[in-house]
Amino acid sequence: MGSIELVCPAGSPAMLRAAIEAGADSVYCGLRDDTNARNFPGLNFSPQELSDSVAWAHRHGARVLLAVNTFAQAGGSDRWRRSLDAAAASGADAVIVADLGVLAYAREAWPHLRLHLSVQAAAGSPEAIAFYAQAYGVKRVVLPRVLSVEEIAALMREIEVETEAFVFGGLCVMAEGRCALSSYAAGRSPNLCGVCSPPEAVSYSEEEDALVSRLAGFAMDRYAPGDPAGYPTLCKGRFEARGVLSYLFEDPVSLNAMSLLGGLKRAGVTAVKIEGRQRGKAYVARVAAAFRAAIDAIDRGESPDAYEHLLTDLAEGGRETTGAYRKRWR
Amino acid sequence: MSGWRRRSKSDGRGRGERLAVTVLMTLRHPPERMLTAALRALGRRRPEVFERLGVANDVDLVVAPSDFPVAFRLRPGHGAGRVEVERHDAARPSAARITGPLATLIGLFDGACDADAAFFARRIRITGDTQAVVALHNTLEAAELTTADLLPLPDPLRRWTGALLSAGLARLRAREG
Amino acid sequence: MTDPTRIEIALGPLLFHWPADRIRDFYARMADCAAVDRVYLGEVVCGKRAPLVDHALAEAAERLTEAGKTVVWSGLALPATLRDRKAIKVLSAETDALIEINDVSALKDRVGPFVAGPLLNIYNEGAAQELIARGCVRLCANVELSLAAVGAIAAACPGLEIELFAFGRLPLALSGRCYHARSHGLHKDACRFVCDQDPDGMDLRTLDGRAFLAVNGVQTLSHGVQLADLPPDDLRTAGVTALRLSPHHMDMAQVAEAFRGFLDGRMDAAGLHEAVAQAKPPAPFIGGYLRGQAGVEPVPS
Repeated sequence: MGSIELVCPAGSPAMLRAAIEAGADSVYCGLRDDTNARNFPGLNFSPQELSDSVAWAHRHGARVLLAVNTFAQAGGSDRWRRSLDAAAASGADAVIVADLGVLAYAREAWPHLRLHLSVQAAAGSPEAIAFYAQAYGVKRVVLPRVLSVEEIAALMREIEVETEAFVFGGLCVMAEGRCALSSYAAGRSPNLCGVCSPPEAVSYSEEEDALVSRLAGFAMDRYAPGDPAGYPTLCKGRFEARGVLSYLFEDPVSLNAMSLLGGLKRAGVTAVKIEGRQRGKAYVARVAAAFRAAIDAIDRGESPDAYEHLLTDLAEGGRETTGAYRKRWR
Repeated sequence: MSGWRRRSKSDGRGRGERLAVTVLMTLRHPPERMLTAALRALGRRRPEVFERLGVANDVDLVVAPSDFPVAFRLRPGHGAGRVEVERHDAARPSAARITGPLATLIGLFDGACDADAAFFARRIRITGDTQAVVALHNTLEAAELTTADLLPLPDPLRRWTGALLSAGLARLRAREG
Repeated sequence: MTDPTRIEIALGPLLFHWPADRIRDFYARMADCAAVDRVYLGEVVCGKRAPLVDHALAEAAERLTEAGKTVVWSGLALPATLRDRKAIKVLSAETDALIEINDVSALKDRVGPFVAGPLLNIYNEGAAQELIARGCVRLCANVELSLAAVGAIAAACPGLEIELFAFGRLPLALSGRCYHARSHGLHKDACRFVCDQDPDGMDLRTLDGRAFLAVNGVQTLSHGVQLADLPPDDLRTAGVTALRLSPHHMDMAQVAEAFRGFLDGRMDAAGLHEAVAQAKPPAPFIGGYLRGQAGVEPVPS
């Protein structure tokens, strides 16, 4: 492992192996239910697959983090406790949690299980992070994607836990774990059900020579013939405000902060995280290899720039951003 | 819809293609039996694949190659389902319909083609129940199947045939650009 | 003697950016409104607005307290700057009055009772119990929760007062980016406070012209106006002890009186609809979340 831990997504055991073979230091995954925030049909691990994958990862010198990062349902918290139990039984290296009740159960039932705080806990200030560290013994916090590198550096000076920052993949422009846009339109949100803009609410229709994507019947975007289409994630839609149609919340681009790796390292970030459990083996192999090379380059004192454009065509809509990391975004 | 339909409206070529449809539909039972046997063999060999499919087990998914005379109707059925051959304009309901060039569609099956990229670049089109299609997509992604799994052959023969098929398809896709 | 089954009416913190004069007049009117029992004051959405309204809110607090209302100070939901974090620290240190916490950062220093606001992600009894152990006396349910979920939390947390977001555009999301500024071609740092142009939020339509959401600075709200017209007995069974009305630029006293009449059984759901509609809310009524549906679903007519 280099100076920064490379954390990659795994939507299946095959993807986990691809990530580790391509150079990931750690992988994160979820069980096949709504206890994790990528609860898509056909994705994720059974408890047996988790155990087998943890064993495989450990034999290959890598770590596995289990995401139990949605909020438990009132009257139905048992599933979340069972997921923590499965993590402990499988030998997973850490669990990634957001819900206060789930954190309390982890602290009480599995005090030696390493706790990471999910980005869904929206802990973006030193005070919030300190609260979770003091109350639950959280060892690492995944930073919200709305902080700039300078803000991260300032934050690091005030906290004692490790940090993990997203550097590649789909960008969430709203405070994670506190966004109800998806459940407003379609009845299911990442908070409670582990999906945003759920597939069952998605439809595409051909209207006057253009393709219109819809979520729960609400038009999200329109594509001319030949233009690449996109998934109708709500905050990536085109809306009319004050008579003007625009991508008001965010252009449908992806995050690529490879050029900022040096800055993140200097800020003291422990780990960088790749988003995309639903993106597949080929995606994770390419991204892991590129970031592995970039991190190794930085550790040799070189620039990571040579590797950045390796990944441009993976971005949704073919375009990228460094997101909030550069303060211009606001 | 498909380039298939458009071409059949023009002269001379249309008649030949209508004949191809007729022939393939008349002779559809052997390929149907072969593909159904392959599906069931996969069900016995890899039950976890069908477990992963979840809700997509009990619906019909139609794969309609735009450059091939007929379409394929797939019912996973927890590993005990079936594959049928049907006309492109068969008006039978289905949960979802996937269209695109045949080589691309087979590439989706064995992971040679990135489904997201193909969808967003609009080389393939999907209509219908997105949830069933997502389940199928994620399952294929996780299952690491090969074109060989489309054939109900015993192991070593299946893999060898599959390698040949994959190479052939890759050349075909490269020509399509 | 207060009836323990009486559901009280609270005015939530003003989410929108109104000029100081309008704020003063509004709270003066609400001080005289017998139907309102409790009022939440404070800037919840954007720390930049706070200096502009602090004085008017302090005056309002005095006026409301004199009129016998319970005043609760609400904190910021998404602290973005050092100044925001300091404001939250000051609020947490408040011992004389009850405070409403809308961001986890306030929990670090808080010693004393507090209200857990609807912008926290408290979705179940386990999380609620964690807050109760730290001094939470009242929870305003997150808008995503169904009445059934609220009931499950109440059943596991006896003694916890529970508020329901019963009227107003629903707060759905917060961001580090200001969409009001962006729609005016401006940046959050030099926003010119354009959010004050939309006292009920700025309408956002889909590309085929359908009303969908509303923008309020860094906050995204529903276009539709929530109306919790569920039978008062169902509310009581679910452990609801108060209804929260979110202030809009309309006759909120009329809205409060209508809800009081509805809760006391003097008016049925149809009567509530009509009385509130007469006060001219900014959009049609919705009521999906409480019924376990998508939030945008309209109230059954």
